[in-house]
Amino acid sequence: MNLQLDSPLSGALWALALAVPIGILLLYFLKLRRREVEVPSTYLWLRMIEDMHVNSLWQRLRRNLLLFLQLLAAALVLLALLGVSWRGTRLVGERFIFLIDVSASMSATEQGRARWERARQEALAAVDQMDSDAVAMVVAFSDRAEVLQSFTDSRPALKEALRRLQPTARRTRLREALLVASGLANPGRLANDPTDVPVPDPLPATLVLLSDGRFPVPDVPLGNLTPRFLPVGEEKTWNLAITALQVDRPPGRSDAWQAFAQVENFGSEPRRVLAELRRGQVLLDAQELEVPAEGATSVVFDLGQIEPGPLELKLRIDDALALDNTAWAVVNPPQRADVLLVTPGNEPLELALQTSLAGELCHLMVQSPQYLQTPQYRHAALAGTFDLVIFDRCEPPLDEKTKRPLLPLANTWHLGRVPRTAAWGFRPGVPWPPKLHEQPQLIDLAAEHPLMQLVDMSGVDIVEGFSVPVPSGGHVLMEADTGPLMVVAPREGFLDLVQGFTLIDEEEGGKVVVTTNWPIRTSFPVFILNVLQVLGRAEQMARATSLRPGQVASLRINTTAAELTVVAPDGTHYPLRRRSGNLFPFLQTDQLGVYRVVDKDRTVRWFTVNLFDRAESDVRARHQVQIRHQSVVGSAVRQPIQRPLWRWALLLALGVLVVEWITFTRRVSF
Amino acid sequence: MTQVLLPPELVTRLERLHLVTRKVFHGRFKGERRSRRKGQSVEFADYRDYVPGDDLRFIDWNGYARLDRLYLKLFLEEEDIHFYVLLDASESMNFGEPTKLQWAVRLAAALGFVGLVRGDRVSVQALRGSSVEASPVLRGRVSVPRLVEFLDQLAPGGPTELAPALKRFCLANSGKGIVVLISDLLDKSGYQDALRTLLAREFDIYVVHVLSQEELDPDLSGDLRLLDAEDADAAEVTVTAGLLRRYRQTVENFRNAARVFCTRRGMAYLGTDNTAAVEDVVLRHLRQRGLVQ
Repeated sequence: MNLQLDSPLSGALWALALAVPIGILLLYFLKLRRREVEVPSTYLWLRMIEDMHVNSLWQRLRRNLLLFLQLLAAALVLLALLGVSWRGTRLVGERFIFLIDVSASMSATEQGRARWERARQEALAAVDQMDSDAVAMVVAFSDRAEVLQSFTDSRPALKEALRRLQPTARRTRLREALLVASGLANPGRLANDPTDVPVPDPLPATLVLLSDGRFPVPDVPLGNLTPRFLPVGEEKTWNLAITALQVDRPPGRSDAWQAFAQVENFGSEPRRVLAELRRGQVLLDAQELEVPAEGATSVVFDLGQIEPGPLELKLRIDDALALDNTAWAVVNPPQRADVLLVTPGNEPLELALQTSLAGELCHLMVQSPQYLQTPQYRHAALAGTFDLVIFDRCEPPLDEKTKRPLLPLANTWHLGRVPRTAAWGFRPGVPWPPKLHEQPQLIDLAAEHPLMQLVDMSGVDIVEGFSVPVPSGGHVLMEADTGPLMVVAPREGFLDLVQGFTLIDEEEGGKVVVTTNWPIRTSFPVFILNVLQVLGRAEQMARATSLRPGQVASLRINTTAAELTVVAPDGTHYPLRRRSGNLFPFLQTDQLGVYRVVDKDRTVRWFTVNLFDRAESDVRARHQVQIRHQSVVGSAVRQPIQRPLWRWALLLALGVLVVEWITFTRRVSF
Repeated sequence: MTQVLLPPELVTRLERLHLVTRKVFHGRFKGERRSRRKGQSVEFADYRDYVPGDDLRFIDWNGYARLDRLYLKLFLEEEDIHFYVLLDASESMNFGEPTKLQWAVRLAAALGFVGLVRGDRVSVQALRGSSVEASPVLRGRVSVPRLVEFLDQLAPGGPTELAPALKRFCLANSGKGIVVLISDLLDKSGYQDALRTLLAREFDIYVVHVLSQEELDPDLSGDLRLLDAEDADAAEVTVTAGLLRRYRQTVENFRNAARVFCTRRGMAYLGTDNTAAVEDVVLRHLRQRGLVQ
């Protein structure tokens, strides 16, 4: 704090002013002319006064109290005349938007305090230094923005909102928060109709961003917003994090499990860390890892045969961010997928679906195309009874109401046919089915796709096939010289796999003709297993899904119950309601840890929420951020100002005078 | 003045009374009081053996005739008593309507009258500062006018200094007797030592504590500088309802303390004020306390 003097008085006036306390001292001896009353004796009165003031020190002080008070008042007036002012800081501006980062990286602890707490402290201090007529709002953001307090000039309300601030384990996306802020600072016209009530004029505001700067560059125009970045955190904070944990079968073994983990070092020095894998309270394995600076280390834990249940991997290290030192994975009870094969007869395909390995993954039901016309199919399709429906040379029936194919609430595999939906390019009047090409030559495979894992199509000949349209979001798995031969595309949470050629065909007269040699190649059963694992969800059932905090869990559970219960890591019970088919969406995934799905006291599924976010685990704060094309350097939000203190000194003097007057007039009284 | 101090109707009622003491005293003259001291009176008390030198007039000759031994007849001797009225005549007594001193004078006259008509030795002594203005020792109904005359000329003055005044009184009056102290006890150095001085002389002590209505319930308000009538001491107070409440509590405590002090030491205490009727005080309160019968 700096005090400055800027007196408006000249030397002569000062001499006069200094005479005031001297005058008070002189006047002090002129006591109040009280009305004199003769009494028989002051004995009783003095006794009463003694009773009232037993403290002799107080008596002595009281005698001089008036003098003290008068001198104090005079000193305060002189202080005011000195023109004392206080040099402090102040938040300059009229409208503020406090954007406070509460993402996972803000839970990093530095010098015993979490970043989000420091950010809150800074914001509280800034609120205190706002002008009395300034307004502000508080927005907490992670990958979503939450307005904790809309624009108000009430400091208690702003402080209360800041005190409600809670950290999350979510990612940082400034975009959402900026959209909220700029929406308030740059209101747009809601409609072009000139008769509409015009929206208020845009009001410029100062955007106070309190963050560690670990976020992708948001592409949001700031408009009237003036960004000020208050960096929270240090640039050299190091952190170790588990960035991946997966439980899987070892290659070639179907009776054992292994856990794979990746530990990354976000720091400039190599670190040694002990990684412990536990199942409940039981320590399964522990390994000491050497994690290079700015690098990653992988570790594999061989688990052998293991009962279904959650696993916990923990790093024994005291680093900045604790959230990413623990990760969870789950081995869920194996469940076989329900697969419906609709075919007029396809021996190679049926054989491939009935191998012993395929039998472990799925429960196959074979029906003829006439089954598609039955109410049973309609019911099963709408109830999501099946995990995978294979349409071999047949098409889903048309829904009588919508006149659109009735695709089941399941993944589908279409052989030799394309669904007649707009997504797949079907238009009334467009020639359908697509034109066949003879002997298409395979030229490319999407080997990285899970469906094409270990599938080698060399030596596979195809007699004829058509070019499969590629819907929006679709992925070409097989590319031939004539165009895409196999395409997979999403459909409302499901996958539709369309194969532009058949395995066999029937000529007129019922003679079966082989149209490709693929079924006799080793790649075919491999592909079938891939289909069962990916589209049959068999693999997903065995390995619990790991979600990010805040991500929606779309749980597909075969149960007749309308409502299940999810037990969160902290023990909270959430109802889980069926949405459509066997789909149970779950939204409350903000906590890290293992979630348990319970159906009448029986655990039917586990799933986990892990941080697994390199951007959040890298807690080295940035002191410069980029918002669209604008670079914002971290700076002090508050600006130095000079506050005059003379008003306060005068007010205080007035208060002292009032006290002095009361003391003066009452002396001894109650 | 006589009429004022002793109105005829009061005199009529007082003539039926006589002073009573709870202690045995040795009067100088025979009075109308029966004493435990054996002496000359008509009331037989006891016999004792004759020893040479005894008054031959009291030998029981009849007994000698029967028993052939000399016995002396003893009679209860009737005595007078010393009755002192100590009047606080300090300046503080000059307050109230009537003033406390006037009221005290009336009471002294009434009590003195009772003593005089019963043949007791009555002395009124005015305490003024540390000095004592004593009346002559009066005896007999004929002395009533002298008593009244003395009381009539009493004027207030000087501070209340009970301790030296009573010490002086005790030195001058060695005999025992009844002492009635009429005072406001507003002695800044305390009344306790003064009363202890009296106690040492084994007087039968009655303390009539008189305060004026102005002291009991002062009609004061505002910023005041209270001046002590005796020593010009000043107390600056702002009188409010709360302060008056506190003052009344202090007065009450003061009177209670005096009552407790007196009672514990065998002194009779009567707290009263200047508006109380003297006749009522004598005939009721002092009679209850056993001073008169």
